[in-house]
Amino acid sequence: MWDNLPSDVLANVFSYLPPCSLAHAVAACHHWHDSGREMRQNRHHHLPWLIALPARSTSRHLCFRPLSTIGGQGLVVFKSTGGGPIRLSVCNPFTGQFGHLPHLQKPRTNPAVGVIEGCTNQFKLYVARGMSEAASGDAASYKPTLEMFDIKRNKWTVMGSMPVEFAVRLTVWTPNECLFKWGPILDYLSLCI
Amino acid sequence: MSTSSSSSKKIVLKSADNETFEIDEIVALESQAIKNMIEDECADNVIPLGNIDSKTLSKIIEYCKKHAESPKKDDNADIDEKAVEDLKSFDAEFAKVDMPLIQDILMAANFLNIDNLIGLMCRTIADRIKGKTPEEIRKILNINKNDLLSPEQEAKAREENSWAFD
Repeated sequence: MWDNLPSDVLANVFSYLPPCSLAHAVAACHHWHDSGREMRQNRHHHLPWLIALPARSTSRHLCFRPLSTIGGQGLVVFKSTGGGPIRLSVCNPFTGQFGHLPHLQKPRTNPAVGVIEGCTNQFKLYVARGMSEAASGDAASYKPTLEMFDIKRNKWTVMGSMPVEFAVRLTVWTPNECLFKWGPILDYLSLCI
Repeated sequence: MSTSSSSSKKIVLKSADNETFEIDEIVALESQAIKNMIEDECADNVIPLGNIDSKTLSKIIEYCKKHAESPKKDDNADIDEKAVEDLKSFDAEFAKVDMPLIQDILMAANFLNIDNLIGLMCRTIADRIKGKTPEEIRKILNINKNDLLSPEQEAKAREENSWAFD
């Protein structure tokens, strides 16, 4: 009879239990066990936070420009500035830790960068289009490939290439060289590849 | 409340077992769901509550009556301490019922959207299982054998929270 309590009501019951009693309660039956697990997964791992950064026009002196946040993990993604192939870095502003990600498989300038957050401590970065470096005498060309960085594997993987016209369009869509959380666009990209 | 009841608007609630309860509108308004129905003018003379039996419904009405009569906390700052204490002891007495009825009241309060009552029932359940072992909790809740975790799942649940089982 207790298995039909809606999970928000059950969460209300659990909220009155001290940790020890909660651990016992979720071992009592299936429904409570599953609900307890679900609630744990949905819990926010960080308090809300706000980060203030210099406006774009004043940040020229920085070697790295903030690009996007990985909110659940409390991280900020930076990109290198000053020309040349892009280099991405991740910083934890709370601990001051800063680390460069490995080099892209296909070096490029000005790509679009997107972040997809997974569950605890997991995230993936995507880099799409951008320009190849111009060889002497040649014009730079569009890079049609999409690369993915998976924190679990700590390396970049080429996912495939997208049609050139799409790579050009993406350039137009993302004039500021960054895309924040792009779920639907990535779904579309994966269809194109 | 009772002095004005002859002139105030009445609402009739009908339980699953077809018993009808005539109450003052102000009592019915303790339920956010009924309040919405009345405001949207979709409440006819009789509001049928097909999933609440008469035993549960009469308990809920008892609770709503008491709470509708009590001055609300935000009405004025210097609210009578005695009224607050009185309501507290009413809640404590009200919750002294068996677990099946607590669950029925909780489900009905959730359906009718009566915030205070949902909180009271959740707190009561938590108080009864606080400090108990999983075996004792199963007994208190009368958990069906089919709903038990498999021995492997239970071992895993204990392992994940081993600090709580030592």
